[in-house]
Amino acid sequence: MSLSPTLSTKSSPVTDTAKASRYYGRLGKYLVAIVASLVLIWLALGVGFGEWSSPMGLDETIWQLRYPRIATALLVGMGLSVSGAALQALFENPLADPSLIGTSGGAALGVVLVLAFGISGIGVPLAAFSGSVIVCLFILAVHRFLGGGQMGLLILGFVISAFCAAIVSLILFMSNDMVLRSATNWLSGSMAEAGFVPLRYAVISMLAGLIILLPLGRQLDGLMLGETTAMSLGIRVGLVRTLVVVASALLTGAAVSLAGVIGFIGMMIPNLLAIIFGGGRMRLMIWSGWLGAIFLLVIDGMARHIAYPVDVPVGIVLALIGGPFFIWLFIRGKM
Amino acid sequence: MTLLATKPLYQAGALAVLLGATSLSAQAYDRIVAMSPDVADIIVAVGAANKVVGKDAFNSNPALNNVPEVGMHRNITAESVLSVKPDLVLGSHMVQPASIYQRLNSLKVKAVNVAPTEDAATFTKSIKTVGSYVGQTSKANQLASRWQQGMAPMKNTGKRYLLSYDGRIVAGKGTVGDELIRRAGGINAANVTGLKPLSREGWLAAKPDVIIIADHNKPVIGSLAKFRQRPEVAVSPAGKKGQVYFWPADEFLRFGLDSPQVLKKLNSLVQ
Repeated sequence: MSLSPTLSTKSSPVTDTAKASRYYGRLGKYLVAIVASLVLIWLALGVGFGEWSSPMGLDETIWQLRYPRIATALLVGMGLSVSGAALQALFENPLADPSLIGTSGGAALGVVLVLAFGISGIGVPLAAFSGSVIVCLFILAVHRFLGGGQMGLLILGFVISAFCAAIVSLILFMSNDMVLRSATNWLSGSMAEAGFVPLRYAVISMLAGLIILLPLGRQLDGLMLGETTAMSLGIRVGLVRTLVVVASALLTGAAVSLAGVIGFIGMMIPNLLAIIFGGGRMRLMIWSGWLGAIFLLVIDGMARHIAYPVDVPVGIVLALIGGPFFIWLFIRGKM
Repeated sequence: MTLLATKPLYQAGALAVLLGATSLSAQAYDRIVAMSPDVADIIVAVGAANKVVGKDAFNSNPALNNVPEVGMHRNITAESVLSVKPDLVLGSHMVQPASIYQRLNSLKVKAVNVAPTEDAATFTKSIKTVGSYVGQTSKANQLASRWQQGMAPMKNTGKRYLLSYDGRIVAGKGTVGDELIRRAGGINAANVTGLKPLSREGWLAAKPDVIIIADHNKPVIGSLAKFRQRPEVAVSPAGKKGQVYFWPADEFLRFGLDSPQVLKKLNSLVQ
């Protein structure tokens, strides 16, 4: 018995080597990720006017147009993917994405209200953020009142999102063609607003979301074993659920305020990483954030290059990729 | 012989059909529904506002303020149109679903799409067609002729215009906006086809001398001053000279009786 501590404190050269190898392996991965990110950002900065040119000699006006777009793509991709990774664990469902907690429906409602009724004093991005957070908090409040556990939250999210979508459709139907056109473009999800929306508010909101969410990785791993098991492990399920939903709302609300309603990425990226690498939820959230950011940057850069001078909403491009991905995921699950 | 005998008969028959068709369109209708605002404006302009018993909900013509609404032109139903017991229903390409005309005709209510396409020639023709249906042929012909003259292409100014709905979507080639720009002597700076969202770098490359945005999008864009601060606008000739305006969308969304005045307005901006 007394040997145990001694044994545990001493380590063999083999263990040390393995540890060092793991450490350097991890460091190598981070380095590769950082270098890849920098290269892709550099490449994306050079995309414009239907061609690629070195970003070294960009004039100030072009710089002012491109850097907010790249920053927006990175932030939105990161926010939606991290949020998706957390929500998939919370709902124990690989198809869960940020829209399940009402953020997309709420944001759409907020935006359409502003566009159709010209509500002054609140801009479109702020309306999107407020809409997503308010609807999400409403879902949480109703869930607290009605109960029903994780399934109840899932159903409430679905029903209230559908209700928001119905109100949006009604408002669009009642408004004139022009409002419809503006709203449709915005609701498709686009980076075109990049630069018009101050990034600092979105960054603050996303930071708050990440600070709440990332430390919950272990609890989310526990939740994935089922609510009962999670409770037996001492996890305060109700509190974790509320924190995850609020943090996800902060992340996706900010993302939606920057680029409108963008689907699929929050579902695709965490699934892809979970299939390829697996691992704990915290790790998955961090890597999802990275890959989501890079993925959206690449997709937006390609769309900008191919469709120039038309600004194709990136949400449409993602939906085109997301549809087949969803089918692949379904087939894979069946096999 | 048989052939010689049948030819006059055939001609007489054809004449009778033609006369019948003419008399059909010349028949005076007293209960008219104007399903789209463009057609309603024509009916009012030829002096037949008193015959209109139904209009679409987006109609803002003051002469039709007291006329009941029969739905929205974007999604109108036969039932709502029939509720005002019309003997004639007129509309244009703006009316959706397009099958409404066929549906009404199958219900024995005469329904005519007077402007099935969105071009200047069709609009001129639609003025005459409406005139013939409301019994104001000569007035309508005069109006059509004035409109056509007013739409005559002006001297080339070489100035570049961007007509936009919301500061992103622009009227490219093949749109009414494009036609208005060209007839006003200008160049459409939007190098796209149809109504498309132009990227901010596309705006920068367009180098417009004049930018016009739909005024209902003011709440989205903010003020003109704010819009002019956008980097791609600030460096453009329009931004530098303050040639950025909010106009009602209907002025460059579709042809209307005011289109000749719109041409003059567009042209005068660069004089």
